[in-house]
Amino acid sequence: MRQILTRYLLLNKRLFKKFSFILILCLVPVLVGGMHLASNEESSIFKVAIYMDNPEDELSKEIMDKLLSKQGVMRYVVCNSEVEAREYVNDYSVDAAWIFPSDLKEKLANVALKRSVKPVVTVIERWETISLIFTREILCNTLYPELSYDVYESFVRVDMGLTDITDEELRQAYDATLVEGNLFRLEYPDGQEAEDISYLLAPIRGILAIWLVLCGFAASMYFMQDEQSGTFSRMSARGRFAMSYVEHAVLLADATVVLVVACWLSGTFTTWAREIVCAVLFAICTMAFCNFLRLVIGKPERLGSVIPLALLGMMILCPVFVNVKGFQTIQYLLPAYYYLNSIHSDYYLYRMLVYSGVLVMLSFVVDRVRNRR
Amino acid sequence: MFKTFPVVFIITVAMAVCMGGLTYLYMKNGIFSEEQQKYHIGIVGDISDSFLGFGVYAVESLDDSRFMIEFENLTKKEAETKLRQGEITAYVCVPDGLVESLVRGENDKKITFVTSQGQKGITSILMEELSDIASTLITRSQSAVYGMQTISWNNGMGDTLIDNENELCLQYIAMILKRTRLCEVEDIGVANDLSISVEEFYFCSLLLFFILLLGINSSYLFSHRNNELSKFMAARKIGAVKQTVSEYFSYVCLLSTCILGIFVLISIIFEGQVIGFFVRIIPVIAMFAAMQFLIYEFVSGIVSSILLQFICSVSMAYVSGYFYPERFFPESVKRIGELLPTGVALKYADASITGHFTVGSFAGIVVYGILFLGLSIIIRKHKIQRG
Repeated sequence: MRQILTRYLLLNKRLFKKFSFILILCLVPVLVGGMHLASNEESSIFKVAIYMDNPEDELSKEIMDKLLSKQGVMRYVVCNSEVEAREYVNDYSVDAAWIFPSDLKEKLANVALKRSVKPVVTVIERWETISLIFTREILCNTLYPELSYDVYESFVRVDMGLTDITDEELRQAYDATLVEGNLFRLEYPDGQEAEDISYLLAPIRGILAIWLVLCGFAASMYFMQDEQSGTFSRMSARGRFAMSYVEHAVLLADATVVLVVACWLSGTFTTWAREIVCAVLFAICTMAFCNFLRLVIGKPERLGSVIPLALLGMMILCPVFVNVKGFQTIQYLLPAYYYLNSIHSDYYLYRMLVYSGVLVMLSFVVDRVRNRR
Repeated sequence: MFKTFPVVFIITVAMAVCMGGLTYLYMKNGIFSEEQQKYHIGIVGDISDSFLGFGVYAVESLDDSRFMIEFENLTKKEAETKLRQGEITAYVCVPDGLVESLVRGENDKKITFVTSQGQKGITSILMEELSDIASTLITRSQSAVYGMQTISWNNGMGDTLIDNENELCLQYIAMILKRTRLCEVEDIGVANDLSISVEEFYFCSLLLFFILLLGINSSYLFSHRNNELSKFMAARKIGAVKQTVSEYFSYVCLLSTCILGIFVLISIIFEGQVIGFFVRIIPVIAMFAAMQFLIYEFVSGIVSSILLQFICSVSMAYVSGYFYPERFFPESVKRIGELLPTGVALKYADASITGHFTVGSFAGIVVYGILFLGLSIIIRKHKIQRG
């Protein structure tokens, strides 16, 4: 044990002797911190140009304030003319333009009175997409409170015949049971409430996870290089097998510290205990995965060629940018998949342990077979 | 080059085949298909007595949202399993006593919305927006119905209350189902041919990112370079410039041949005319090769060089809009992304598809290429002199 610890410290010293290695490790949290700062600036998934024909109208003002004050996936550009709004759509500056008429309130009241939904707002788009249906839902959602009240008012006054009822009485009865705020609460499978993070920071943890797997691959290449230069020539086959894990552990331990610090800086951090447990298990899982691939592939130049494929595969199949369906079998082979899901689910944490155990056993078998040959 | 080429080429082609297969499946079942964009949501709990039940029915079968959302009634256990298996995007848990709470005008019993795998991502963020829309529709409609009930009682119309209630509910149903007709949609079609389609964008960005990552392929080749050999060659009048340029050209040939192999495969499998596109993006390959060459020249050791290649590739690709379109980013980041080598390369590749080349994008590629090569020469000179 003492010998292994000494080896561990010596190997770490060898890595830290290279200034570039320290610089590269420090670069990761710096870049993540920079991205966190940048995400505080104004950004959006959809951009919409708004033109109000009568900006002084009370309802138009109210809608405009509501839209502009809301922090979300939409960003709005206020235009001075309809032509300007159309031009924005035409030159790809925005996804769509919403043109509000001067008599917006009257038009909505008319819809409620006649019970026939007629176009009130003009929406200009380049072409129909599912994403734009989503933006139209947001527009309708902005108009709905006013429309809903108009329908209620017209029903009470016209259908029920209560023409003498005062506006105050109507409003009071409506507001008495009006529930403010969102009825829904976003939660993770572990029951924790979802944090409010920018979509720009959402893939950061995934990218960091893939970076840690790359560190594992780099450790494998490093070990192969040492093996070729005869560093372990005096060791027994079993000793070499154990040493391969020690050498992986050295680099991965440093990388795990960087991963946790970078997650803390990125704004996607949960709790220290959860982060540390997940990161340590992920490092073990990565160590088992990379060492297994090293044993199967055999040569460093071949392993070097497999790395980009493994990285790209993880970027597409793990929940880094989007959740891809229908590839569960391949996803279960990727360590980053377990880590990304384990942050809010114990199920994947246990699976990660089992996966690592199976890989270590398989590696042992492959190593034995190779040594016999 | 000839010593390394066969292995690197064979593995790169194998990699490209896997990549092609993955991309094909991704695009077939992936983010471009309506099925993928459709949100499958599980519902846990009784919703029959609430306005929520009506909302679910409307969204599922009558509303325009049926193109986006599909609901499924599940038990908690089934929902958890299906969420884990990726069969549903999320599930909704309706708490007991929700209706009573809403009747009192309170919002203390929240409907929990259990999101999908991993941490909050774009899908969850969009789901949050959708839940806000659903909230408005539910709360505003029920307020009106409860308000009407109050007025009926206050004005002695309790005997006609049930009829009025039904009538008003029907009016709201009709209004909610037709709410999107409040918008008059004007599709102006593709306004110009200066921009590429979503598929073309993802093809370009994935291809360029793949070329960037190919730099890692050569890590073993570069980490085995010997400084003694460089000094020996310098002593034989083959200086830093000649050494760097000749090594660089070998590397460009290696990279280009690998990528050409991939393009030939694409054109055979998909019967597409992509070889012309390959010729047009040769400057991008040369520029990326120069950047990778500079990194290998700058950092010694296999670990540092692999890590730096990856960090540079991913961070620059992310900021330049290879993964998310650049319009998703704040203005300042967008500007930085456009100026980076990856941004210049993406602009040039986009122009290669549309055929609208600009001098600026080509000049950017050339300037970056020369800059990277020049820096590599300086570092090599320094290494030789240092001894």
